[in-house]
Amino acid sequence: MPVVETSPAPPNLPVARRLLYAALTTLLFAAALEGALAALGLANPAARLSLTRGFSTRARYFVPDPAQPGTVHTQMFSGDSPEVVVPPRGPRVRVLLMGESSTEGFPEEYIQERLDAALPDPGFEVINLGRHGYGSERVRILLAQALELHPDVVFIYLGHNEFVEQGFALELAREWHSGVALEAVDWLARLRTMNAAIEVAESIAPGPSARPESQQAERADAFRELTYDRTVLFYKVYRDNLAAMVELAREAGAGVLLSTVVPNDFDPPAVSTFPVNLPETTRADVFRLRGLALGAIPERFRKGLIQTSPEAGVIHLRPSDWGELAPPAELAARRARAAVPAPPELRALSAPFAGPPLWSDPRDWSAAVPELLDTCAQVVQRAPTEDERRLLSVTATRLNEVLTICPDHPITLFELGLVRYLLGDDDGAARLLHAAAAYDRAPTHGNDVINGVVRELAAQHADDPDVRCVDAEQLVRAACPEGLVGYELMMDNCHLHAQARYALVDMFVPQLLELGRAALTRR
Amino acid sequence: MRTYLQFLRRHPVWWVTPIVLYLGALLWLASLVARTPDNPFAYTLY
Repeated sequence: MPVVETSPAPPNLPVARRLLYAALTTLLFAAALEGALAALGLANPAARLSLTRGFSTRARYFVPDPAQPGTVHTQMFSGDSPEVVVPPRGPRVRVLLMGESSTEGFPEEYIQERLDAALPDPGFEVINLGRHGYGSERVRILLAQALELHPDVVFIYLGHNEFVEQGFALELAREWHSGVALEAVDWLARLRTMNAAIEVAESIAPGPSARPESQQAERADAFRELTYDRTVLFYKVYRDNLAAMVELAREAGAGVLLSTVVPNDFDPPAVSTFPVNLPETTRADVFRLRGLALGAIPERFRKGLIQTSPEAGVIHLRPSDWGELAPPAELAARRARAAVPAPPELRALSAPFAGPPLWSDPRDWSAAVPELLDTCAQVVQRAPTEDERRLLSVTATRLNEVLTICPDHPITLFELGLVRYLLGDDDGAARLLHAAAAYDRAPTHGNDVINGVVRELAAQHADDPDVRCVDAEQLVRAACPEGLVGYELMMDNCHLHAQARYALVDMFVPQLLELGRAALTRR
Repeated sequence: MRTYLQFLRRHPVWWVTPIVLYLGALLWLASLVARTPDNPFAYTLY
């Protein structure tokens, strides 16, 4: 008989001793599991972006490529887009493009061709590190690590996503009940065991995009009640992050090119709230006045552009509505339609955007595109009948009354801007549309405040020849009638049509070239 | 050591339970991570 069978029964173990042994056993088990995974080379925590979705400085954005020594690749797209492969540093001038989805959509190969044509020896290497959905907080973390790639020039095009990103941060904190819980799990994810569990869970659980529409809609509510006194705090964060990025790049010896961002003036504000101290009765007056005002706008000028009731909503186009990044099956279905949408007549643009329309092939469009563009065409043709002019004047009067009560109400400023535009008051319209975007409580595109920060930062570095700025917003506005940017150029709130992006990046090439020349001189 | 080995043999519930809880907690947290979105909803909305 085995010894253990015949050994005398142990004395009763105290509970404290049992707990100690239990903890020890669990620890040994965890260590053995971790060691086994490490020995097998499985579930490497370095091969996963931080669970904070990039908001933590612990996020590892670059991993070495074991197949190609010296080469690194990004891990920031989670399968949405191909990761960027960065080869070992060579003699060419290395340019990093940093920013959001607009930057991600810039044609980096074209930029490199333009730069190479101007300075073929040693030539340029343009690496696009733009990431959709990112704002200044995560781009700053990404840039800090990207500087280890030893860029000569850092180009920053960033400013549409400040509230999108912070809304997402709130969403994450809400989902995890607190930022601390998320940080704790992020810390646990340094373990291979945790990563193995995540891999198992990801393989069996439906992804976040597969959630019901009702749950998805809840995610958009993060800033529904945001008031302007809190909005301004986010601009301070943007200013601090952008300034820090410039400092980081300069400390690393890289030249910096900043740019203002180009918004769509015909995209309505995302969030309009009243001051918290506005009495309930006054709010009721505002709702009544707005109802009367909007109801008077002829439908052909407001369908899809101005919300008059919960049913008659605003059309928010996405790049996929134009065919860009649309699922292949969806795109095939659109192309198989018998009736191709007829593109409406919008405004003619000046150089460098002059010529045929810049938008995609109408066969690729979703039904929402012609629906919204038809209204835009009615607006930009600005040919109201006499009766319509009277109605629009009534609307303007009532919206002005709303603004006397709440002078910075974003959506009212936007609606009055469109009405003034229809009535031929270009200056008034531009002023109101700019104000609408600037007072938006949680804007989803750049505005005068954001671009003002960029200009101010550029002015602070005016004596540094290696910090330059292109005022893309002003250059683009100069090419648009009445200085207003619309759907002739934009796919949605902040993304230019693919063809328009070539002319936009042409604006950056001369400055990138100068910064590249300066970097070569310093070598 | 002998006492510890006897503990393992005589009281399996005392050490199997925390291991199961540990694995359960890992899988539960992992399932929460798998459900966490990668991108802001606002991006897909606008």
